[in-house]
Amino acid sequence: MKGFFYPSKVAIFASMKEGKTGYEIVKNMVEGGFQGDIFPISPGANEDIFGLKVYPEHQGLIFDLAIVAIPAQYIPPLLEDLGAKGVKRIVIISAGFSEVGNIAAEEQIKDIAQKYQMRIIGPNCAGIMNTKCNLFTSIEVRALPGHTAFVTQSGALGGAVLMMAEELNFGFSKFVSFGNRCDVDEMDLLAYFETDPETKVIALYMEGLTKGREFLAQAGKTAQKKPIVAIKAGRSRAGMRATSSHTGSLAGEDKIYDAAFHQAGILRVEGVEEMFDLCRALNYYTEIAGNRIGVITNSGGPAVLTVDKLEELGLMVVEPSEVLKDDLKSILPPHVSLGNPFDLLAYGGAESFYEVGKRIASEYDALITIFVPTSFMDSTVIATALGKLKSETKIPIFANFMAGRLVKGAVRELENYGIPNYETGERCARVIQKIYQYSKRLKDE
Amino acid sequence: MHRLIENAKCEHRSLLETEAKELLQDYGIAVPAFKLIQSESEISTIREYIDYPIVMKIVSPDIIHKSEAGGVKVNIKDEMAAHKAYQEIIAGAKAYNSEADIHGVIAYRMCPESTEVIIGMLQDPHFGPVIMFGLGGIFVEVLKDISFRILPIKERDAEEMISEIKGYQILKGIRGEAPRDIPAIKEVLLKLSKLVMENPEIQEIDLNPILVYKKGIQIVDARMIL
Repeated sequence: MKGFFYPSKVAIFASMKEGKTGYEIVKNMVEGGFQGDIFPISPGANEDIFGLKVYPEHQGLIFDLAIVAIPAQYIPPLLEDLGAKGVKRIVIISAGFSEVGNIAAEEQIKDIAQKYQMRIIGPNCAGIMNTKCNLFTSIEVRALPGHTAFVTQSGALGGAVLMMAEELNFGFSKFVSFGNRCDVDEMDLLAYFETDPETKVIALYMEGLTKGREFLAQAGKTAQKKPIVAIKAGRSRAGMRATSSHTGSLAGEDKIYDAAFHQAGILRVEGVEEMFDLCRALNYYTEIAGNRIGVITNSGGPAVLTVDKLEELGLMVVEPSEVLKDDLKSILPPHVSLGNPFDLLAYGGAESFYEVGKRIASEYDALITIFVPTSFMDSTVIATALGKLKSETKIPIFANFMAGRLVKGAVRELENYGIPNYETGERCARVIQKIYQYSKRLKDE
Repeated sequence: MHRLIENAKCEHRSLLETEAKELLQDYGIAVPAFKLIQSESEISTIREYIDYPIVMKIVSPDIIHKSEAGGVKVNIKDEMAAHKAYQEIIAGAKAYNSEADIHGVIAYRMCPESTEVIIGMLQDPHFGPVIMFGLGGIFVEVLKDISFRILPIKERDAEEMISEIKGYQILKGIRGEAPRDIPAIKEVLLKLSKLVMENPEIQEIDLNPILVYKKGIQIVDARMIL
C-alpha cells in the first residue's frame, strides 16, 4: 500500500487540455510541490503544461505510479501495457464501470491486475493524496497537512470534505477516494493506516459494505491502535429483507450497522460536521479515562446547555469534594458558585480560569471551559491561561469560546496549544462522550 | 450437522417447536418440560412428565400462525380438558389446512405470567448471524426497543445488549418491584451465540416470549427456521 503514497515518478494518463482532468491533476501536483518526476501523457498533445513536457505515449518512460483518467474502453489495453512494463500501482479515476452496470469491464481490469500482480485504487474515484510528500493526484482541492487519514467511498463527498476542511484549517495525512474498490478496499486501507506513522486518526465515509465480517475483523484490530471515525450513509433505509421471523421483521439495516460498528470499536458519527468535531479532538486526545466532567464558565446560560447535553449522553457532572470546595473558597470571591459547573461570573478572568482548572483537575476526567467575552475582557488572554493549564495538567481540556469574530483570535491561540474549541458546549459534550466511549472500549478489551 | 437439523433438512422443512426446544436443551438452555403427544391415547401419560395446568399447541411445519388455526389452548387444568383440547386442536388444524402435515400436539406446563423478553437471531447479508434482544409486547412491537450484536458475542456484549435498551429499568425493577433475573438472560444470549455459531444452517430464530422471573426464566415458545 505504501507504494501508492510514496511514489518517486508519477505518470498521468488523461487529457491535458486546459480545464480537463489531466490538466487539473498536473496543476495540483506542480502547485502542490511534488518532489518526484511528473509525466503527463496524452496522445496528440504537443504543448508543455506547467513547465512540463507532455508525452504522447509512455514508452521509454519509467514510473512507479500511474494515474488513469482516460475513457473506460481504453483502460484494459493500457493496463496490459503497464503490467508488462512492471508498473504495480494504478489509480483509476475514470468512471464507466460497475457503477453504471458495466460489471464485465470491471472484472476485466481486475483480472489484468491479478495477472501482473498490480494493485488498483478505483475505478470511479477522486484520486489519492499524501501531504507528507506533496502528492496530490486528484482534481480536488489540495489537503492541508495533518494527521487524519480520510478514506471515502464517494469522490464528490471527499472533495466537499476537503473544501470544508480548508475553511476549518483542518489537515490530513492522506486522502483516498476508493470509488468502486475493484481491488484496494477498506480493509487494505485500514491495515495500512494502522501502521502509517503520519496518521493518528482514521476517518471513513462509507455507503455500503460488501465484506462485512472481514471489515469488522480488520476494523476491530485497527481500532486497538488508532481511533476510527465513520459516517455510514443510508441511516433511514429500513430493513428490506425477506423474512418469516419476528426478529427478521424488526432488524433494520441501520441498527445492525450501529451494533457492528460498536463491537468493532468504530466511532460512528451522524455526518460531516460531527466527523470534523471528533477528528479534531482525537488529534489531541485519544483517551478520556472516566466520565466525570468538570465545567468552568464565565456565564450561566451556555453552561446549563452544556450540562444538559453531558447528562443526556450519560456523562457525570459531579460535584467537587468538600476538601476541594474549601480549597476553592480561598481563591475565589465569596459569591462565586462552588459547585459544578464552576461559574466564575462575568468577571471571571484568566487567573480564575487557570487557578480553578488547576485545582479541580484532580477530581475530573475532562474539562470544558466556556468563555463568553465581555466588552472589557480580552479573550486571547484566557486562551493563553488555558494553554498554560493544559501544559500543567494531565486531563483533556476542551473549549467553548462564544462566539464568532469576537473570539477568532483566541480560538487560533487555543489551536496552537492543542485545545479543541467548539462553537457550542453541546458539541464539546458529544465529542467527549465519543472519546470516552472509545477509551472505555479499549480498556475493556 | 446436528441430527435434528439433518433430519428436518431431509424432510425439507424447518425445525418443529419440539425440535427447536430439544436443540436448546442440547446447548444447556433450559425450557419448560414438554411432551409431544402423537395420539389421544398418550394424553394419560402427560402427568408423568408435566404438572397441570398445561398449554397445548399444534406441531406442524405447515401451520405457522398457530392461533389462527385454533392450534393453541392454554390453562388446561386436567386430563379431561386435555382430551377436549387435543380433539379441538387436531380438528382445527385439519379444517385450517387439510394438506397440513401434523406431527402431533406439544404439551408443556403453563408458566405464571411475568416480564416478557424476546431473543432472536437472523442472518444478515453483510454481517452474517446477528442476535437481537428486547422486552416483549408493546416494547418490541411499537417502540422497537431492541438491541443487536453481530455473533459470536462475548460476555460484555451480552451485558451491553441487555442494559442498552430503554426498558432496562423494568428488568432492574421499578416501583419497588424486585429485579428480574438478568444473569439468566445473559446466559441464554451467550449459549444461543454458541448454538448459532455451531449450526450455521439456521437462518432465523425467535425465542418469544421468554418469561423472566425474580429467579430463573422460561422460554415458552421457540422457532427456528432453516
